[in-house]
Amino acid sequence: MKDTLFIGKITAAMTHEMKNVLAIIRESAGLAEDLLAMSDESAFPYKDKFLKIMGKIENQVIRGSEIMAQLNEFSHIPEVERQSEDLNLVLNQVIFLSKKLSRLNAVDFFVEQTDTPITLNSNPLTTRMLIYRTLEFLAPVIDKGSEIRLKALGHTMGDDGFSVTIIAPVSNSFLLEKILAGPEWNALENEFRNNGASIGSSAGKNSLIVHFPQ
Amino acid sequence: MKEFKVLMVDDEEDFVRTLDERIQMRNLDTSVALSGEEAMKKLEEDPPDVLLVDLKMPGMDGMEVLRRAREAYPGVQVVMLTGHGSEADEVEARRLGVFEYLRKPVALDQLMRTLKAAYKKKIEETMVAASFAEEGDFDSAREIMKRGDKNK
Repeated sequence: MKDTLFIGKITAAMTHEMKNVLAIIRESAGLAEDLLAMSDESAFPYKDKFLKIMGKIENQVIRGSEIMAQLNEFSHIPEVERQSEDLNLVLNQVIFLSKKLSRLNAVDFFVEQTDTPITLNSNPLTTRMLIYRTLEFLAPVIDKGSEIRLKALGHTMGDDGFSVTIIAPVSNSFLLEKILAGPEWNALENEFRNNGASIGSSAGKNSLIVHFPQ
Repeated sequence: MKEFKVLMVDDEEDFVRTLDERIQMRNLDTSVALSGEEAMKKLEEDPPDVLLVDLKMPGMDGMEVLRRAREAYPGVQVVMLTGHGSEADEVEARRLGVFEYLRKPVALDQLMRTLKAAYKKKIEETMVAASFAEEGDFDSAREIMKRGDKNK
């Protein structure tokens, strides 16, 4: 069994377990609320505070469920070598899974949806990894509080592949030029090359173009 | 007087016992089984109106409980509530005649609405089947109870 398949299998099983944990938390909090609703109003002076806490638990259970659902979906990705999928959906999933990266660097990630699906046939794990690696490269070096925008593009390189434009707002273009001259950029370029893809900056030096051959 | 009977089947005891308590407070007659095998015994002893069943359980899983319940007790509506389900599982459950397929954790309001809708469907099917039986069309009556709709 491949390493990635094993990790995916265990992750999928654990996300299922976590869904049960979240369900128990939700029902236990709900039962506590039910019991409070049945009790005498004057018997418990902290009712409002209690209900507020219950609301927080409920919201976090919803948040946890969403994370588990996305993680579960992600854990099945190593099961296929190649698949056709809408690049918009790929970008949305990577963005969702990059929330921690976004928070740590105080930047936002945003997907500009295209009107029609852009179907890419590729190795789904590699595609996600390369997009994530690009965000990981950009997030620490762009202006804090700014937004990295990602948009799927159609044919752009004269072959039948597809690209993603990643607009990284850097306050001065010299900074981006400097970043692109550094060793981290060379390492990223090599990583793309080794996976049969490519990355480059746009003519205006305000965005990166990631290209996946079909 | 309780509204109708629900049998809840789940091997996560903490979950199913807590849910049981909450649903009882909402005036339904509930009971609990912690395995598919226990559920089949309880179905035989005292069939509920609605069966709420988890998918992945050790031994007999929820899909097998659904299949057997729809075969032997076509009047019992089955709702699946799972933390494990894939899309393929949902397709299979629908093919076998599940009333609704829900994913954990589910809001209690939504679960209650689903259970009530399942019970309503059971009553409607029973009434339609009875009208066919009154006219002597027992084959159609049986088919309705089994499949839920004569035209299916």
